[in-house]
Amino acid sequence: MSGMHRSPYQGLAVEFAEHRQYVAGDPVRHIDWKVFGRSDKLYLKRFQQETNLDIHIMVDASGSMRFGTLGSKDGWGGTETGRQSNWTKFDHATAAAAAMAFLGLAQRDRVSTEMFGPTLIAATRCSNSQGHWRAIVQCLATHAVDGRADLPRAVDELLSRGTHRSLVVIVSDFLMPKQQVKDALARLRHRGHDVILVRVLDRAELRFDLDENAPFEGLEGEATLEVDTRSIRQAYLDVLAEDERELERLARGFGFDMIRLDTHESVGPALAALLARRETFLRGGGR
Amino acid sequence: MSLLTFSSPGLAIAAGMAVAVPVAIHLLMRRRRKPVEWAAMELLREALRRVERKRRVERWLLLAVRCLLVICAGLAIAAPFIGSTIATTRVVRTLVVIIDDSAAANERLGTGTAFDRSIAMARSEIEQLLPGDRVAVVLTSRANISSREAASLDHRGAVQRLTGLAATELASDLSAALTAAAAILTHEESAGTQREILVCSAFRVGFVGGLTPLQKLGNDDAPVTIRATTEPAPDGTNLRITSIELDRVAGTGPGAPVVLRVMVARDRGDGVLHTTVRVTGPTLTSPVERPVELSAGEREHAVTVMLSERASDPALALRRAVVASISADAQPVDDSRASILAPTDRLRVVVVDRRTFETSGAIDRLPAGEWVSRALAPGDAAVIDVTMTDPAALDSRTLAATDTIVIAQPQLLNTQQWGLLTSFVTRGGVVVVLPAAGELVQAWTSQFTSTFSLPWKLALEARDFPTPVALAAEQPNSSYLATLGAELPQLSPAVEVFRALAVDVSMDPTATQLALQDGSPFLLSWRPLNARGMVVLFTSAIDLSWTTLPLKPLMVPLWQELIAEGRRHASAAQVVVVGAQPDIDRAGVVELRPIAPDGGALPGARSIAVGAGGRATGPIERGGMFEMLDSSGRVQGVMAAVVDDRAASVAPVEHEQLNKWLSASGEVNWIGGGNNGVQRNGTQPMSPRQTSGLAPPLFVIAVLLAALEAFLARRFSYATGIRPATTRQANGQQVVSEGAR
Repeated sequence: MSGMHRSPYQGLAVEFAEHRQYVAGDPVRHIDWKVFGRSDKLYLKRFQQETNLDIHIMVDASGSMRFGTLGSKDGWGGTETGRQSNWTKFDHATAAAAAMAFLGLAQRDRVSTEMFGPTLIAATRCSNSQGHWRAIVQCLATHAVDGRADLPRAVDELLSRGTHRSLVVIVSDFLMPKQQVKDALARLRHRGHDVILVRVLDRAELRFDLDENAPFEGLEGEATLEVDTRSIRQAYLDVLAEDERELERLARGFGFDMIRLDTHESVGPALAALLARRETFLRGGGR
Repeated sequence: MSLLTFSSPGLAIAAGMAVAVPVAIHLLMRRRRKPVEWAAMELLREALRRVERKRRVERWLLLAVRCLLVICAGLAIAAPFIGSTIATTRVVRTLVVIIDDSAAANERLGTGTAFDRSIAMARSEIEQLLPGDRVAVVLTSRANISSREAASLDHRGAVQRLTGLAATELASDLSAALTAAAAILTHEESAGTQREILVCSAFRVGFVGGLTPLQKLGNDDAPVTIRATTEPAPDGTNLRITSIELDRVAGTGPGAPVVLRVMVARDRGDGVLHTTVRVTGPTLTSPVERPVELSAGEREHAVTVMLSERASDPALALRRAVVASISADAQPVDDSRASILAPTDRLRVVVVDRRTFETSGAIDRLPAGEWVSRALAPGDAAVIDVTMTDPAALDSRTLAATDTIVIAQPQLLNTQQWGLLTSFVTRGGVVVVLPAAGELVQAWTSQFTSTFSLPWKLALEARDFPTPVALAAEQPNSSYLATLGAELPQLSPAVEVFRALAVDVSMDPTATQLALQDGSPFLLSWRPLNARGMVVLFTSAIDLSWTTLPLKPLMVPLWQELIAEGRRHASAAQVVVVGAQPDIDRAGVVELRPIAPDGGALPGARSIAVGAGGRATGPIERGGMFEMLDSSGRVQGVMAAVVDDRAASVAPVEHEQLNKWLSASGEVNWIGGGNNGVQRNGTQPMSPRQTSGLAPPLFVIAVLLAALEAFLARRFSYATGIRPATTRQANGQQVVSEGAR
């Protein structure tokens, strides 16, 4: 069955993709003899197979995702967590995940969602059937948000389900040790998956423009910190910028894509920009 | 020694305590904060780690600046100074406040007294002293027992001491007070200070006394500034009772009515004055009152009052005393006076003469002592006990049981016996001295004059008159022989004198009680200083070779009157002046207990113990009557204490006269005006609000610290350019105020 996406598996496929210079060991049956006849050089023909895509959307449901400073308004929807008070990062993450799932299902890609915290909390089957989006939304909206995230473990559990190469979208604030992120991405990369990192942060976390000195309590059981917000603002922003750069470096290092979402801004423009960028990138020659 | 002290120690303490305010605010603000839930704790922790050291330094720096600011501001207001600094900015003062607490200070002025006014002004002056200044208080009634220690830095203690003081009924001694003040000012602790004496008084006659010249205080190297409170205007008139004398006994036997003569004198006021004399006493049947009117210009007025005593009772006989009082006026202290009525027991006279072995009984051979004995006890019914004693037997025991001593052989007394006679006169006894009849050279005269400090000059040899000289018909106006006054013109000329001692009384003209026709004295009297008794001298021996007096009718009444005077002195011996420490001549008395005029108890009055030697252990400090009690509590007699008339006088003194008198001690600046005066003239004391040496720089430092604090607080708040975007919800979470979604 032919799908709308180019398959990530390149080789002998329906659609020509590119030429590559022959190196010793390559199968000779893929040599483009016409080119050899014209240029006396050996090139291999590579093809892109158009296929349906499996998309796994992993949503971080750890305690840190419970943070939010944007007041909720009627009609916004959101999860049980955010509906009680503010629009949280988890709300924003589920909104982004639901949107991406909707887009995938709309083009008949098979989509699954996985909620992870200390472990993989919940998951839907990977399907493109009608009504699956409702199941996805229900899964996103009904689970508790708590505990510390363990991304490598969640990824291990995902991979243990025998998933073949697919697109893995990780929606999280990535407020975790970067080594964990690196380990998780390395395993996904090893199994040949494509990964999109979607980092969701609250505007207060991005700007740190609090004006009162107060003790800060962690949402994942961290010790309380006495903070003079004004005095450490610049240092915090520096640390945040370094953290962003580190995460981006990791993603680029594995050849993955990454976007950042601000909970105070709409999900749509950011996702549109992501998809447009990927489209442009893929049409420009693939990888 | 450079000790840091403060003009306002309370403010300095407050400043020290105020340092805790910034710290307390800091702690309270921490406690009141509500926690904020936060997700990016690792980022926050890392940020904190990076700025923690810097923030700690900033916090401590800001706190230190704030604390220093509070300290400097507080200290500047508290006006600190260091000993060495003070010398360059102001002179430390040593102030000795002399308070007039004498009898004159009881004068009523408006709603208070002159003493209250003095205390108020002294207190005001002390409260204006700056820290480091010294102060001492000297009381004029007790100046000779004032402490000569250094003036104190404890101003509050001095004020408290003033609060506990009260005016006394004692005499004032400004000279002694100035001496005490000078001793205090010359104490090494006061070296180098500005030395001042403040005299707080109404400066009435009672305070200034006889304007006795005062000693000069200070010198060019260490001058003493004297300030004195201006005398207030007199407020009201004043009368006083100057004496109470027994005029006569109207009848015979115990219980006979007694007539007293009460003298009322004008102390202040020139117009017609009315008052009521009231006499009461423990033995009177009822108090007696007599209205008195002093006409304009009349200085003194005598009032006779007849008193009826209760039936004879041995116990009452020992309490025969009266208190006369007049209506209240400007000076309450001299409005009453106590006196002792003559004792009813027999008088005791000792005649000191050498016994003779002459048995003929010839009149021309009778010794002087015998003549005197016969004159004193002419019959069996005599009320005078006469005892003959040999000069060698005269001792203190003899004197203790005697009212009057007649010395007929003065040349036989030794120095110790003369000393005993001095004590005897001091206690109120009467000593009558006769020249030795058988001696031409009276060698005892020098001892006599020196013993009693007589102002007379006695010749060593008796003078023989070529022709007998009679007593003058016109005798001096003698209060001593007042009762003989009407008969003297007839009795005196009959007495002839052949030989007499020449006595020069030019220094004391009033001493002559009887004079010869040539004007030379025949009988002299003298009351030694501070003595209650008297010394009487006959210039002629009671011997027929000297005079015909023993044979003349004047002999008996003259000697009887002498003894009557002794009787009066015997009672006067029980009258002491307030301030004296009396010698009690009655054996067994151990306590002097004040009693009310009617003889009742006087609640709250302090008794005075009497020592084994008969001397009271303390001075009499109030006028009135005192019961003399023995160890079993029985009354042995009664003693009257009277306030010194002159000490209590509230008659005003001319200011020029005062200024001249007080200026003898140094330059005088008069301060105050009116009864509560605060207006000043003359040299002003240093302003108490004068800024101390360290206050200005401390203020400057405080201002600089305030500016630094403002700068650092803004700098360390990191508030520049940050616009708060969030507000806090009731649940503690942050909410964006703008709808950004």
